[in-house]
Amino acid sequence: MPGLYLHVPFCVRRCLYCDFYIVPLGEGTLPKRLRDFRSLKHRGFLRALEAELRALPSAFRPETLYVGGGTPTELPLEDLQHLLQLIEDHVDLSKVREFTLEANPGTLDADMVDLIANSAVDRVSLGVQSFDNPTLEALGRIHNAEEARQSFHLLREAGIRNLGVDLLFALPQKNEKRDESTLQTNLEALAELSPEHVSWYSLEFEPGTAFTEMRDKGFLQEPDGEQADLEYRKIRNGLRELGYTQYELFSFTRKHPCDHNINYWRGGEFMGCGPSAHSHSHGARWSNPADLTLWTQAWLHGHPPETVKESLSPEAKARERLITELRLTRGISPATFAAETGFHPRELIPAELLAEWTRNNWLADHGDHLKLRPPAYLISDALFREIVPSL
Amino acid sequence: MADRILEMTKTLEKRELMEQVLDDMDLERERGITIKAHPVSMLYEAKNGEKYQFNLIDTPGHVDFAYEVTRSLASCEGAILVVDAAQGVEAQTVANVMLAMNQNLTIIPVLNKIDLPNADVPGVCKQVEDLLAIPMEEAIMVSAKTGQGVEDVLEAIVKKVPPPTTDTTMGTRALVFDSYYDAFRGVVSYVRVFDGEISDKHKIRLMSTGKDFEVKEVGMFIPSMKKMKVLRAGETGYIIANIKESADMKIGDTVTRKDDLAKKPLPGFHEVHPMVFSGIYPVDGSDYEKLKHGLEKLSLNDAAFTYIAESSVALGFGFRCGFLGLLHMEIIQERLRREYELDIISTYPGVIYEIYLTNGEKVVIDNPIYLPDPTTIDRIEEPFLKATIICPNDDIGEMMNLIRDRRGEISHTETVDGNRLMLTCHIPLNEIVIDFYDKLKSISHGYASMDYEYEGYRANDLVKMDILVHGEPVDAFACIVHRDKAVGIGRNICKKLVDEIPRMQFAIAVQAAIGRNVIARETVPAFRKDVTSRCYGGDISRKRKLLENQKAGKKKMKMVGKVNIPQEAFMKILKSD
Repeated sequence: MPGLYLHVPFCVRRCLYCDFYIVPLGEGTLPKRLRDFRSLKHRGFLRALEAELRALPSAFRPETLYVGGGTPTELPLEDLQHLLQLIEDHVDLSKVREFTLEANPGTLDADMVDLIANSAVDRVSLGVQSFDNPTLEALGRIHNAEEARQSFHLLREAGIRNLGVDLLFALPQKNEKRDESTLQTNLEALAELSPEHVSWYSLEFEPGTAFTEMRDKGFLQEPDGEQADLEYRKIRNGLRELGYTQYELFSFTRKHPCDHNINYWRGGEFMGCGPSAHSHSHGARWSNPADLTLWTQAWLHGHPPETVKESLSPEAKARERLITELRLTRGISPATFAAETGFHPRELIPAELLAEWTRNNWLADHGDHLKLRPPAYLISDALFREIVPSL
Repeated sequence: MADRILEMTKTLEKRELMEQVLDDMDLERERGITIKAHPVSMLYEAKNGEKYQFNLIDTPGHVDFAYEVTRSLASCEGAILVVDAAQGVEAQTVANVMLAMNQNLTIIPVLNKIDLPNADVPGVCKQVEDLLAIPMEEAIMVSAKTGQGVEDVLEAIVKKVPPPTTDTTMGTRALVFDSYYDAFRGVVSYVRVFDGEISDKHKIRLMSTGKDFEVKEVGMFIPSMKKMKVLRAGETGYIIANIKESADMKIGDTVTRKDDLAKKPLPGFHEVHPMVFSGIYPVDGSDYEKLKHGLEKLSLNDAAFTYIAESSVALGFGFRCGFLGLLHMEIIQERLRREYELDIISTYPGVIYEIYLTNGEKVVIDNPIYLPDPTTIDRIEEPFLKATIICPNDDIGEMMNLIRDRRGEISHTETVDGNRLMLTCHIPLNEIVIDFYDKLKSISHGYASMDYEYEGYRANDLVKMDILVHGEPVDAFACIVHRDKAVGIGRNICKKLVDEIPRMQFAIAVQAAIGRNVIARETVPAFRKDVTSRCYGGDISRKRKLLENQKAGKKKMKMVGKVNIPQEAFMKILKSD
């Protein structure tokens, strides 16, 4: 079930923990020259995107679509409308079962929500991150909790039936009480809003981010593993009580899991458009340049930009799929896995490791399915490290 | 000083003189010390109009390298004793003078650095007279920096040092006082010819093995190697023969000519025995042969360095190496890293213990893991040193504390001058192998000096301490310590290890134990979070690559039971603080 990902690289500004490829375009009442610059960037992006969409293989019929970023809803209304139109014009949507648009509070208004509700988009993922104002400020977000609620209500009232909310945990430490109450605030907000989907990620200190620099200079403290573990347990329990089912390490749903993401984890094919977007097809992975100007110039000059390609051996591919598919709580079916990759999971995980992991209650191995057990969720990289190809 | 003499004799033009010409190893220049003895030949036209050929060997001063001095002195007729007019007599000065006196060498006393503002010429002269019984009336005042007095030194050599004597009835004899391995030319031997002459037309015989070789080239150091037609009696130079095996050339051996065989070999010198032992292991097991090759080559240059293959459960295959002291050990390790580009791990340094069993047998071990079952041991004896320490009066209290803390006893205190004392103490070698010298220097702000000699074995309440990681003893960390100090040392090692061992999914106990008795314990807490949070399109290959790299990094660690111990842990354990 192939997917299509569109990367809209614009944001008002960069959040302090973010390491995605984005172009921060500034906020508020911009001087005219900057406003012009911004709209030129947007226009160039859309023209290049059109060229890239036209260049997709004619037989490509995605089953899932995901417009992410960046902040797609940072685009002015007419530009977003243009973008959605481009998709309808150049992508065969006949097979699409799920069309997600990422949106950020602080960039949505009634008109835009109206536009979204009346487009092919049927799922919106709202980047809330927290319902606690001091936390939002500490993360460098552009919105407050109230705006997040408003955005959610707007979307719901406009008739979007599949809404997801993104949240973060394991944030730089304040104090235990405060973290505890923030967690409660978030769970209460979810109870009140009742989104269909929740992605609740642990914050990672990525290289090159402001957070990592602040941590390294001692201005903020990364929470220790114990704290993260404690919060994670509370999140899993809290969401279960609210009627959510966990289907991936950090993904929970009341109705449908996100099929677009499941496709990534199951090693499926996908095409990526926009600067820095990755594609995976016919056993190869490639990525667009993480540079808006380069990417735009190339497409405007009528040829695809230079991509970074990577082709993996069948075994390396199987190993890669094993570590992503094990993220799914339902685990994998060894028979299906072997049929699709050519490798049985037992060939990829040494028997003594399999035995040890089972003994430690990290892995359930019932012959017809192989899955991580909750005690391994937060330390899964330690297991995956044993599975990845050796250099 | 040596540089200045080279300049005066026009062996080198001034512009050719780099700082410390004779210290040509990078390590030597960096540390400002001489490690290897350096021979050099030069011509000097004296004031009496005669031309003289001098052969100078610049020698190291550090106590670890006393054997280099011994070997050099055996090749000489006289010695220039250079005393720093600001620093005064140091402990190793005393030791080196004794060596020269034992060889019956003419000693020319020189006071150097008289240009320094804190030079104390009368005071230092008195020290030399009092401590070394060398009359200082004729001592030469020198400033190597300004060149003042250097010519007087050269004149004194002409006047005082006897010319080499030769005995034509003995056959050709040359003493090998150093050698090194050249990848292209094979073994290059540094020799002093005592009787007869050697040229590239000759066949030589090494007297200790009786093996014959064809001479390819002879030459002298002026100061770099220069080919000569012949090396004559009294001259110092080098011989290159078709010697391919490092092991064939023994330092201290006598070289003779096949057509003019010596009646008997020259008196060699005392074979030096390594005092400090440590295991050296390649970080990457596949470097074993490379390490072996490196050790072989280094041991050719260094008669005092020994090595023998051993294996460790924790570290795999490696070598037990013997060194004269800590500086010597550090230098060998550094040279392996630099000159042979090896990543190595070395184990806790130790000494040779003599173990007397209840059944009357005696066992000698240089590695704690071979300590016999404690129930069979009657007593363990450890090597003691007689150490001479010269220390400023102001620091004497702290110095005495340091000595006591290291289980030493002070037997004698003597006044050097108004400001300094000379302590004679008896101290276990094991207590000084790690950092005693550094401590001594830091207590005295660099002013104290130390020399030592081996004094024999004494019994003590010694025990073997094991370090266990997650229940598994790590043989590389095992050490023999005095029972009273075991808890302190054990706790220290455990604390350091805890900081170095990466967290795993389970808590890891790090323990120090004597037999079954755990005397110190620390815990590495379990890792609770090790996860990739978002893992979509582009994250997949990025995260996979990251995991691959981390996996590769883990391979470089040493696996003990279920726990990976990084190389740094092995290195940091050695550094005490």
